Amino acid sequence: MRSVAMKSCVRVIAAALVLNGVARAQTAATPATTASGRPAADRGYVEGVAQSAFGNVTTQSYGVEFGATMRPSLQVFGEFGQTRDVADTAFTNGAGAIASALARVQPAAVGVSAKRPVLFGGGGVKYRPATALTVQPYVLGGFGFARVKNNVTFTLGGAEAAAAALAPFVTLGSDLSGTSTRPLLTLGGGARWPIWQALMLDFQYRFGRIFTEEHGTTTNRAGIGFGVRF
Amino acid sequence: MCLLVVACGKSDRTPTQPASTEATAEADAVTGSVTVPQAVSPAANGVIRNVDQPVTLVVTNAVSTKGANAYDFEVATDTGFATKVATKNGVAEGTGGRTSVALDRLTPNADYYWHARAQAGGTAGPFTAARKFTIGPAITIDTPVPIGPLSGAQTGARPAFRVRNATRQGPAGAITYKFDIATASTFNPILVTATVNEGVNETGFIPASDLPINAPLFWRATAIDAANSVSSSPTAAQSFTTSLAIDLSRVIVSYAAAPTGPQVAAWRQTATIQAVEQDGNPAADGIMCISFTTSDNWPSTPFFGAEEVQVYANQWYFANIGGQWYGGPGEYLRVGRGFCKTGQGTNAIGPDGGWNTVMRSWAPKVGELVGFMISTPARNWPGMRTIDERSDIVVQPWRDTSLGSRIAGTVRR
Repeated sequence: MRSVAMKSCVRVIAAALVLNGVARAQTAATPATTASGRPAADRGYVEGVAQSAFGNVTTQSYGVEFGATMRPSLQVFGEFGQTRDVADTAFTNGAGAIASALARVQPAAVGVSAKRPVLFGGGGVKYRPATALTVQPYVLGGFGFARVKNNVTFTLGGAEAAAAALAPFVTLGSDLSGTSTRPLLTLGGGARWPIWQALMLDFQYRFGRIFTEEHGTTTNRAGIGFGVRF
Repeated sequence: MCLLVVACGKSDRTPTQPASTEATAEADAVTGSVTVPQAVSPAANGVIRNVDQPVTLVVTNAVSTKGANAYDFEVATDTGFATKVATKNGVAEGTGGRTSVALDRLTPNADYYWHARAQAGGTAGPFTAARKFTIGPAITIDTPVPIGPLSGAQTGARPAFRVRNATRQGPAGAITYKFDIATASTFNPILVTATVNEGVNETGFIPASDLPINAPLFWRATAIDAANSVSSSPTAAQSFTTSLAIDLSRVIVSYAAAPTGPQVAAWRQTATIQAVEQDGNPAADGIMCISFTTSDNWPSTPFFGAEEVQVYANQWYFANIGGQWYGGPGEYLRVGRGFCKTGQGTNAIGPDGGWNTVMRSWAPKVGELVGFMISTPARNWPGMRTIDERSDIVVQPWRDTSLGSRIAGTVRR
C-alpha cells in the first residue's frame, strides 16, 4: 500500500517536471535553430553519466540525466540512476556483529557481505551563468527519492545462506534487511564541454543526502557525462 | 514540487526477512537484528532432582544491533510448546555474558522442554532449539518412630538410642539417621550428635562417651537421604534421665590378682542381683548383703585348698573416683552361708579390700553411687577359678546409718 503510494508520488513529480519544462519552453524559449538546420543548440539535453561515489565506501554510480532549457541561464533537469553501495559504518558494523555471533551459535564458517545499493531518481533546477567560454559551468539543486536496499548476505561454510538456514540463528531487522524509499536532496555543479556538433561532455560533481531513518546517508559522486544537446 | 517531494518521502520499508510479528515496531522505525541466545543449563536431557527446584534456566546472551536485549523463557510439556507451564518474559539481560531466570516449582516426576529468545530494537530473535529436562520424582521420608529410651525412662550413661526405620515414598537413596542429644527440649545447644547408617528394621546409636549423669536429657532422631537432600521431620523429643551406670569393659580393676575389666565384662551374665542392703555404720559391722539368683549352677571351690571351706562367689564393689570407675572383687561367699558379709564399713571397705591405687583409701560418702556385682570366684584369679560367670551391676547410693542414712529396719542378714 505504501509502495503504491510512493510510486504515485514519483509519477506526479515526474509529470510536473516535464509539464513545467514544456510550458516554459513554449512560452519563453527562443527558437534556437541554427542556419545549417542542425538541432536547436540548447533546448535540452540527455546524457549518460558514470561516476565514482565516495562515502563510507568508494563505489560506482551510473545513470541518465536529461534536461530542458527554460531560460538561457536556467534549466530544469531530471535524473535517475544507481549507486552500488552507500553503506555506512553502523550498517557494516551491525552486519559484522551478527556474523560474529553466527560463528558462535553454529559450527560452520561464517562470511558476510553488507552493501546498500541505491536506486535514485529526481529532478531540479540547473543554473548556468553566462560566459564567453566554450566550457559552460553550472550549479544545480534538486529533490528526489532514493530507494535504499539493505543487501546483507551471510555465507555458512562458504555457501550463501538462505533465509531458512539463518532463521534458527538470527532475525534480521529492518536495519540489515529490506528496502526503503527515502527523500533525496541533490546539490552539485559541473562544466559542460561541447566536443563536436551536438555532442558534449559533462564534468560533474553531485552531493547527495538521503534522509534515511535515524541518521541520514551522504553520498558524493564525481564523474563524467556523455550526451547530446538538442 | 519540493513540498510534494517531502510529503511523499515515506518509507516503504519491506524487510526481506520480516521481524517477528510479536515485536511490533512503528512502521517507520528501524528495527534491530537479533541473534539466538545459546542454551546453557539445564543441560540437554538433564535430570534435576526434585529437591533441587526451583530450576534456573541459563542462556548466553544474544547479540543485537539495536537497543538492550530482554529475554523470554518458556517451559512446556511438549516440544511444540503448545502446553506451556512456565513463561518468563522481559527478563533483563544478565551480566557476565549470561542471563538466567529461576522458575517456579514444577510438578515433579515429569519431562519438560524449554527455550528462550532475545528481543531488542523491536525485533524478537529466534528461539533456541527446545531442550528437554526432567524433574525427578518427589521423595518423602516419614518421621522415624522412637523405640527407646522413651520419655520418662532412666538409663545408664551410654544408653542405646533406637528408632524404627522411617518409611519413605519415592526412589530414596541410602538413609542415615542423625541422633541429637541435648539438655533441653529445644536442642540448643546439642550435647551429642551422630549420624549412623540405617540398620535392619531399626537403627540405633550408642554414645561413645558417658552422658551427663543424673541429668534430664532429651533425644531425637532424623532420617536423612543425603543423596537427594531429603530429610524427615525429627522425632518428637524424648526425655530421659541417666543414672550412674558402669561399663565393665572400662573399669579399672584395682586388685592385682583379678580379671581385668574387659575380661570380666566378657564373662557370661548368668546371675541377677535381687537387692543390695548395706550399712557402712561400724556399729552394724559394715554389713554388706548382695542377694542374687543364678540361672546356672555356680560350682564351689576350696578356699585356698581348704576343702571344708567351699566358696563359690565374690562380691564386687565399684567406686567412681574422679569420673573413672574403679572396682574389684571383695568378700568371698561361702556355700550355705547366705549373701551377707561384714567389715564393709564406710571407712573399712577401702582398706579391707586390699585394693591398689586410689581405691585403697576410698571411703564412700553417704549418698555416693556405688556399684555392686556378684561373680564366680575372681579374687586371686585365676586361683580358685571355676566357670567365670557374673551377675549384672547394680548402682545405688551408699548408706551409713551412723552418718544419717535411713534404712527401713535393719539390714536383713
